[in-house]
Amino acid sequence: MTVNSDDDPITQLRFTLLDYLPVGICVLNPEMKVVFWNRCIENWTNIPRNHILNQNIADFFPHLIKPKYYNRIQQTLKGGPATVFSSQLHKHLIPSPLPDGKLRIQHTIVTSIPHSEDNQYDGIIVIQDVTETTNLMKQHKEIRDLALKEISYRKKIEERLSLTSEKLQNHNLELTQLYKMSQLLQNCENYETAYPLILNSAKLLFHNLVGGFFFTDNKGNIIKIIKWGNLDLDKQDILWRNYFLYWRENQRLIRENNFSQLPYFYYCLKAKKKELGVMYLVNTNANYVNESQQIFAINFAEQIALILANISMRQNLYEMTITDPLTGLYNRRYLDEILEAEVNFAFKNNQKLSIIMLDIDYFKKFNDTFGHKVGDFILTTISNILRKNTRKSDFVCRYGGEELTIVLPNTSLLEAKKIAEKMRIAIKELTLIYDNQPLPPITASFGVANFPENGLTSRQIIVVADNALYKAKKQGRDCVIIADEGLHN
Amino acid sequence: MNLTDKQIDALQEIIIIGVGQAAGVLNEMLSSHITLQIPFIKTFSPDLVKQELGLKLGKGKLSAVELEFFGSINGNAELVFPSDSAAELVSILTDEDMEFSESDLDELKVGALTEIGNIVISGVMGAISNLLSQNLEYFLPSYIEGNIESLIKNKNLEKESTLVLAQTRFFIEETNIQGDIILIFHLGSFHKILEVLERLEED
Repeated sequence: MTVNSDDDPITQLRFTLLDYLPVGICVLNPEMKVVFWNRCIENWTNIPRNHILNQNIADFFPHLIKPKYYNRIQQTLKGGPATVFSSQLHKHLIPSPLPDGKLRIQHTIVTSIPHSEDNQYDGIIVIQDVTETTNLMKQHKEIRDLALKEISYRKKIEERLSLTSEKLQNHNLELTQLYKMSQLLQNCENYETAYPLILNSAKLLFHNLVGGFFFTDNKGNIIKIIKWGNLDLDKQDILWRNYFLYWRENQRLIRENNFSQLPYFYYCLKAKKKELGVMYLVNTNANYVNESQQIFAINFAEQIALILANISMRQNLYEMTITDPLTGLYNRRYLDEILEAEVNFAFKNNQKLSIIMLDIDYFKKFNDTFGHKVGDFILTTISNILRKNTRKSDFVCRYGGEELTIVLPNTSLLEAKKIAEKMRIAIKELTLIYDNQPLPPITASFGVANFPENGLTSRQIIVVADNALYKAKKQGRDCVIIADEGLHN
Repeated sequence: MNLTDKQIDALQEIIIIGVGQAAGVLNEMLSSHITLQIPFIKTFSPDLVKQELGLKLGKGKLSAVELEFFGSINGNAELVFPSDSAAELVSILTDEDMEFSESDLDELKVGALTEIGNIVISGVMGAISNLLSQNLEYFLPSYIEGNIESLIKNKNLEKESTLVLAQTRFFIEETNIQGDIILIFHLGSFHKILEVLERLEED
């Protein structure tokens, strides 16, 4: 069917229905001449139907002659599949302005309509106005993109925040552990009880590193080694030996240099100008011991050094309170303390305990004749003899003036008497020379008492021993008298 | 039913011409060269077709444009892309950044992809129907997204029938885009094709 005039009533009647559709519609014959132009497209393009009917569409829209349009439309006009001009790739196939001057966004489909009388096809161009939908979608996409951007930005911030908070938490944990350790260490009476506490804390605080301490005495000799780390013991042993050798050979260097960016780290334990040892840390993954690890290690080491120095000072102070400064023996105060404790121990363990009390004969005379310095010399010399003749478990004390007392745990009266005799003879055989001047021979008197035979309390035993000593004096001095008072009497 | 080598050769030639024409159109749109693989042609039962395509196209998400045709020959023609290839293709064509829309092609892009599918498939079908001198009728092209299951719908494939599958993979140079052109002819239609092929041979 071909249409020759714009007022062919049959053709127009055939397509009238299309006037009532809310889409732009144009029907083309195989020569691309306009057969129908509906009201909607008339409005959109402002091209009246009677102007365009029977005209080649390319006369009005010259771009349609380009192959990319022409070939595709032709394909459909030859009975091929429908042709889609999407609103994304071809927004304005038949350009039509909106009231705001912008062009309408169109989605266009060209479909073939077969003629009934011949093998030819017309093409029907259907144009949907998708301006509003497209704009809405664009807006929607913009908002969504913005929201996604915002979300990803927030995620990043959140990640950073959680990282920081994790760091803080770790830091907090470290500080808490450090605080706990110091609290526990404060209560330690000596180094031996402190070492396990230090090791436990180090294991917790430096769990991802291998490390250890060499503790040294005043002369720089190693007195204790502690070490930790996730290595098996053999490897750990080899490692610390290497680091120890390195440390020995480079002590000065290590003291002076701050090693950064090395897989190991040393720090000297120093407090009150005293060197107490060295701490080392090793990163076995061959990474650096990083700066924050170093800073924390320094804090840790400083804390330990300070507390160790305090323990040592406290120990010194305590020793001063229980020691007689002249002879280096325990003082009376300590005697009271220790005797009470030892008597209790003996009682609980069903043991015997002896004490020896001795007094240097005519000590006052020596003092008066040769002066206090000689008196002190005699006291010190005799103290040394007593120390030599006692066991490690015994306590030698200066009871007062020239009176000395020895506590002998787990010792019978007979054994104690033997020890006292030995001491008496050792004193008697002394040849004393002071300031190139020989001194007259010196003797001492001894009283020996025993728990539980002579008394059940420390006080009782002391009194009984003192009485025995008094007897020894009375019997002419330079002798050992065993107490005979007691429960059995 | 199996095809003879001769029949496969003849069918391959027709499909190469059709696909070649479609590649030409794509080439023009993208100004990039398109590399085509030689079509794979084989007969299958409907179930096995899915299995075969699953092997060839993978289990990932696919974007496809489908055109159903009927008349003397029945079947489907599809242009299938892995979803990321589809996204890249659309972003090249529309000059839009796909940064936030990689996973799901939003509706704005569906139209563009439908048009590309329409161009390519029309090229293929136009050439084939011309070569075979068959008048075919077509539904409107439609866009499908999903896995193989959703691409090949059973309702259009008669359970008992045998299908002929023709698949050609193409690559767009200088991009990561690859796609497949798939043609499925129903058995009844295929007798028609063979008839025509034989006649062509005689000529």
